[in-house]
Amino acid sequence: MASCLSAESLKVSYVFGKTEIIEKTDQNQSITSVKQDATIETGQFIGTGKGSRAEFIAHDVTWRLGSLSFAEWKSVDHFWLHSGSVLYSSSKVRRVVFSSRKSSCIFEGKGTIIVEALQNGGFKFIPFEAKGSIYTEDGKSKEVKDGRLLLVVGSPSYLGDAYDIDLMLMMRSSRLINAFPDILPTFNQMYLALYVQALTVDGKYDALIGDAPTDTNLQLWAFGKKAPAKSQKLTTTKKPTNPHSKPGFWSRFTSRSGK
Amino acid sequence: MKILQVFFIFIAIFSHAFTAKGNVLRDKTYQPEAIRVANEEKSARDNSQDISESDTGAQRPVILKKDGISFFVGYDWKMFYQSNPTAQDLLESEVATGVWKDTLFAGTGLGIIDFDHFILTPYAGVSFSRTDYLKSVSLINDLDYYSSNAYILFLAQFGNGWSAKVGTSYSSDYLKKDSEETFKEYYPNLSLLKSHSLNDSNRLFFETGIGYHYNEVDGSFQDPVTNLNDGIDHKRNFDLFASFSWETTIGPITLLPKYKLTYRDYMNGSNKTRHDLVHDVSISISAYQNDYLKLSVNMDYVMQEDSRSANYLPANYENFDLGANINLMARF
Repeated sequence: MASCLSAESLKVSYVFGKTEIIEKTDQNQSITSVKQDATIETGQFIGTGKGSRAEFIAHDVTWRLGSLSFAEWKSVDHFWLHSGSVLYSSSKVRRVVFSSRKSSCIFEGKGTIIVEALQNGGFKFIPFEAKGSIYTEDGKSKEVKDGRLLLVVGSPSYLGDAYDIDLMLMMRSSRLINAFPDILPTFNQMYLALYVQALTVDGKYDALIGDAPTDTNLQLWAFGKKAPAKSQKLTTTKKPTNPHSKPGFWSRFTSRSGK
Repeated sequence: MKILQVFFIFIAIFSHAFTAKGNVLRDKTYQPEAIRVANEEKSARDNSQDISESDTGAQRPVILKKDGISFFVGYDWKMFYQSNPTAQDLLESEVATGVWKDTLFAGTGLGIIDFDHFILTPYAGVSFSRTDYLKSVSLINDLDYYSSNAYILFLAQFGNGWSAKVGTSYSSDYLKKDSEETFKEYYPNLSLLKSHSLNDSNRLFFETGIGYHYNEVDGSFQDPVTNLNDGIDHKRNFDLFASFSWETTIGPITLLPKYKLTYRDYMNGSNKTRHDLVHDVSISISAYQNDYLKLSVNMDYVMQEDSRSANYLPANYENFDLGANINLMARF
């Protein structure tokens, strides 16, 4: 086992449960369990079992793979996700390619980003906190904003709708952030993103974003006292229609806001 | 110097902890949104309870303001017993009184500026208050006054949880009976704040700072040593302060005990050799609180020690306040 990282290898810094690599070059395709402090090479498929997760480090970049994920590092700066989710954390500006079964994008910048594969072959690009730009195959680019979820769908890939999401809720409920022994190196920036959003939030929708079975449909799960537990299928061009209404002047003194 | 040494020992002991809210009975400025947020937002590092439900976490859409400009306006009412409104070494039975205080306040957040390693939020605000002493004794009744205050401050929030506040305020007090201005002051100041969450129900706060009270007061006071009248600048002073508080939530009730230590170094007139050490112990009990309405009961004990010799009339005094407070505030 190499005692230091080569340019195309990653160090396994944490493993929980079952994580395996499949070497594509072998005719018999050997499957090997990944152990902590091991080194894995790029160009190999990697998969995590149910309830399993793993953390990898390469060139000051932290990668965290969620459960039931199947992925491959084509290089240390090109990550392909077939299914599942991954977290990318870097405090230095880098150029990284994220791709899935059908779509891909290039991110130039730094930050903490969660990528989740979608049923339609695309993926969600969720910058918890990030500075930089995202480029898609249709030639368009967009500056990323803290907490603004982007859908990368289609082939050639393009950017779908964007949604600002509740960062505090995400932070408290995400295993990719919480269920690892070490704090992310970009945690201070994540704290500042939480702080800024707390100052600017003006209301919350009673819904959670789910999967996207097609390029034009996004699942939104409504919740609340009156809402049924069914999912609502809305096109990606529409936002949820039941936000908390903005209170008028006098009602601000008598009722809570949607914050 | 001994007093100053005591002060710095206090800061050294508590400097790795926590930040503080202002004295609820004596604040002339009302906390802007960012300070409330900085004190309330908890980090996952501090949160001992893991509520993870999925790898990516829940994705709930929110509505955000397009710019960081905000406004707040409110009304504060206090009714309390004050044992020593004159802040002099007098018999409590002679001067203790009930106090009624109304305050209208408003402010604005002037945007959010991202400097990568910290976020800067400028604020400006004004307040106007009326203080009425209820005791039917002319010595006390004649002290009824109006007070106006304006401030501008810059709050810098760092990613490690520390925040810094720099700003200046202007205050002016004038008596009700004849509208005579008895006090005005510019107070530039700088402070550092830190909060630490022990768990979901308990938070610690630490704040330390420095400021200069550039004031003008009634100049008729006579120096007992020189027999010369003090100038209007005889109460100007530098102050250093540090405070430590603990917020705990038990059901619907929030308790906030706090200790604040202030060191004042005076510069002019009969106060030239004067150094004060002020101990301030308070507790606030909020029985009901939401985003707009806060009801509380507050107790506050202040003890001031003047370092000067007995040739001067030392400005030692004690004061005890106990009362109720209603605070109504809307944010836009």
